[in-house]
Amino acid sequence: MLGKLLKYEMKASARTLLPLYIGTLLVAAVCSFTLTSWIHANTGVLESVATNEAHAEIFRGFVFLLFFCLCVAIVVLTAMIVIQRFNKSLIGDEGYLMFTLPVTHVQLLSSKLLAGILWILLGTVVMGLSAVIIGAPSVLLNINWLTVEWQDVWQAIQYMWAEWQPLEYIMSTGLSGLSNMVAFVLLVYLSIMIAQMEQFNKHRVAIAVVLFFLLNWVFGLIETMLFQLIGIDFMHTITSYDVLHLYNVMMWSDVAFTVVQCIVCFVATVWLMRKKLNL
Amino acid sequence: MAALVEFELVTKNYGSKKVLDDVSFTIEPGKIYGLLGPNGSGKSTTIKIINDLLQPTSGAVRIEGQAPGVASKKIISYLPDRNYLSDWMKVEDAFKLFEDFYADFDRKRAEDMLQSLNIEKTARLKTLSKGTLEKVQLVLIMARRAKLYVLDEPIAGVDPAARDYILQTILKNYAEDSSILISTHLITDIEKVLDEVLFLQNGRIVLQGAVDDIRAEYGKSIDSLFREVFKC
Repeated sequence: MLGKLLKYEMKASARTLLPLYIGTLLVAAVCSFTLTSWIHANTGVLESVATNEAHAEIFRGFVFLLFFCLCVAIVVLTAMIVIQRFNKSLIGDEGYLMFTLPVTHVQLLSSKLLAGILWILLGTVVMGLSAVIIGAPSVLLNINWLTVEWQDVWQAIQYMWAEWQPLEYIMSTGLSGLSNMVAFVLLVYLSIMIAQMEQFNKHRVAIAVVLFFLLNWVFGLIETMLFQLIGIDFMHTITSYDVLHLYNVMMWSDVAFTVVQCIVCFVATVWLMRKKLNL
Repeated sequence: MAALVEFELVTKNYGSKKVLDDVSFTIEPGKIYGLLGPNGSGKSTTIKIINDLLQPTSGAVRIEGQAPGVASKKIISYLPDRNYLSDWMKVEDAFKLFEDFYADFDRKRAEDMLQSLNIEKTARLKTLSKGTLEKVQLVLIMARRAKLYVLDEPIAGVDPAARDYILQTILKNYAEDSSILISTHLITDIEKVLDEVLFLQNGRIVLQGAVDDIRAEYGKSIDSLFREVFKC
């Protein structure tokens, strides 16, 4: 049943987000093309572009502005859809259908959460990929591949890997980012779920917004206090010894705390769905 | 055998307001029940509790002997008093959704009903009128081979001509051992199909029993009795 719920969830959001994501990648490709043309023109490879430089510059400015707008749209729309897919389809009239399907509350919440996370990740990948599409050709075209000493490059990479051992930093940073993203979405859900209770029949949206910031602040406060308690005081110890080691300790502690926060929010939201639903 | 639905001294409070007050009744298989009462008498609250959309403050609710949950949702087909479908869907998307989630959804039956109501399968729900949308929902609900159909104000939004057709549809499509619970205040239209009635007033059941018995006892139709009991 979770699979079916997830399928519908993805389908409902795909109508808005997929065209936006694809459009952004296409515009990034156009940006990339104009950029390489410009580089070529300025290095004398493509003379014809240089003669049309005024027009080309306007066009280049336009596509880059469009790209910037699309990136902003990805952030705003993805966030809006993650919120709306919960608010409208569970707490709104569509909730009458969703909550009478033969599925558990855990499955309902999981499908919303998984779909939300997938869209946020996909949006992030699209923006990262766009940056690569725009930047990579210009960089790669300007390297004289014949003179590259692959042996040296490989050795340099090996040396850096051995020296810095970056795997743990990558993992701790990645997991911290991921867990904070899940925590963010779950906190939004919990805020909406509290605000829909019968006690707050008016101003549901305003209460949900205030609750979100309040809960966020409370969890942040608890985390800071716990960190201080176990001796990781950001402000004072950061310069005292191995900074990178401290960074890892901080990240892993953050992951641990955030996972607990996620579990608390998930359990609380399911409980509210079961006991305090007020359609 | 356990009753299909059993309410035992169910009370629901909203803050200090008592919406249901020690309500007890049972729904047996194979009968059509009318849940009758004026606005604000507790009809929708009762229906939401049956469908696990609301938790009672006290008392016990059992569907086939168990608390409402996944098992009861499999056997109850519920028509709420509002549009609960996403407006981006087409009629056939809604069919697909019901087919995916309800094992008892009979697609052929749904398509037949849709055809006789002259509704296009490819129509977007957004483009349909309120009345047509209600019909689509009714088709979805009645195309399930459920044990209990719970219909909240099923004919309120459609014209009187369509009402008869819808009532016929309801009667034609429910199996002998299924039950129907219809909440309404349009009693004239529905009286002839009811086996049992429950009169709700201010959260309390003021009258319940078989329609024939009540008619014989009071010497008047359910509609006239309703007007008398709920006189303003």
